[in-house]
Amino acid sequence: MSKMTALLATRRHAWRRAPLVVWLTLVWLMLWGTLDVATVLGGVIVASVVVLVFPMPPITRRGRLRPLRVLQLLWWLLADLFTSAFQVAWESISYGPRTKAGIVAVPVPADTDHVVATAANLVSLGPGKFVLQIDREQRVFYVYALGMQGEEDAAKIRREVLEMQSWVVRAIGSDEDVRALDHLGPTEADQPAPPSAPPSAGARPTPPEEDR
Amino acid sequence: MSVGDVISAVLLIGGAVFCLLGALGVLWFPDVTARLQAATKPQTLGLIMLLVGTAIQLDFLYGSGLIMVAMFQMITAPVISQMVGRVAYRTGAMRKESLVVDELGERLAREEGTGKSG
Repeated sequence: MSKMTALLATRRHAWRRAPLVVWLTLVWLMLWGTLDVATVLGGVIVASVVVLVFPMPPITRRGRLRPLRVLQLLWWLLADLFTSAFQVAWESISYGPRTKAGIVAVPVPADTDHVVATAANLVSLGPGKFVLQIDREQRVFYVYALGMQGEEDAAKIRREVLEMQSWVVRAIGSDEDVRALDHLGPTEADQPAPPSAPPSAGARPTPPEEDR
Repeated sequence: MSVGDVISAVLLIGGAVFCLLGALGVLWFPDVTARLQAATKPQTLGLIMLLVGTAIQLDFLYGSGLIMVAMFQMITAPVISQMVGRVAYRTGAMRKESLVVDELGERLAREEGTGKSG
């Protein structure tokens, strides 16, 4: 009985998962590397079966996609990847086994599941830092950061992670999340320029994916 | 030599350099979590640069597969580092003396003191 209603509910919300089917079909096509009717049909069937058999738990999607901000976020991310890759390399060369690290608690302004998850993932993507523990209820990230010299560096790490979060919130967060950023105060979140992007990162040859 | 060749040459060499830096980090860093930073991150950037450099030389049809490899690498690398890092922290495989500050440890100690389970 409950299985039946669950199935009906699944059917009713099937259209909501259409973007996921499209995306999975696209992945299928890229994996095959061919584009013909049979492959497309096969992809749609496989994607539909996957989506129907393994339904994802519903999450609240209050977020709003802001394309320009997403581009800014991607650019920021690229600069961050390069600068922090160099930083970690420098740590390993200059300190080696004597490298110090730290675990810093950073407040999380956003209260939307997929924004928090995206922010945590992007913080972890750059070298030198990763989110060790998320306290979703009290909204705290515990961030492991490599290359800290002393406790005074904790404030710097906190500022960097907050800044990363503010870029994510501005790109995909809900309006409430964006308003929550303003309560952090101007010093922590309202820096429009990409942070710590040194000339070396900017002067690199333009990455080809932007040419296409 | 076309512009594409120059770009992919730069990307291939740059990618190889980042992979080398990652390997040196694994060799030199003191504990699991620090090595994790070296193993997953510069190597991710290096791999992406190598893939993009290669994709430029290929037809888009084949290049798209390489872009997918880069994408899945970017999605999975943070998850892996979080899982391994968390396990390393909880099992004590992390060298506590190399931490200058540990706000998670402070909180866990606090909650243990008040009887809450961490």
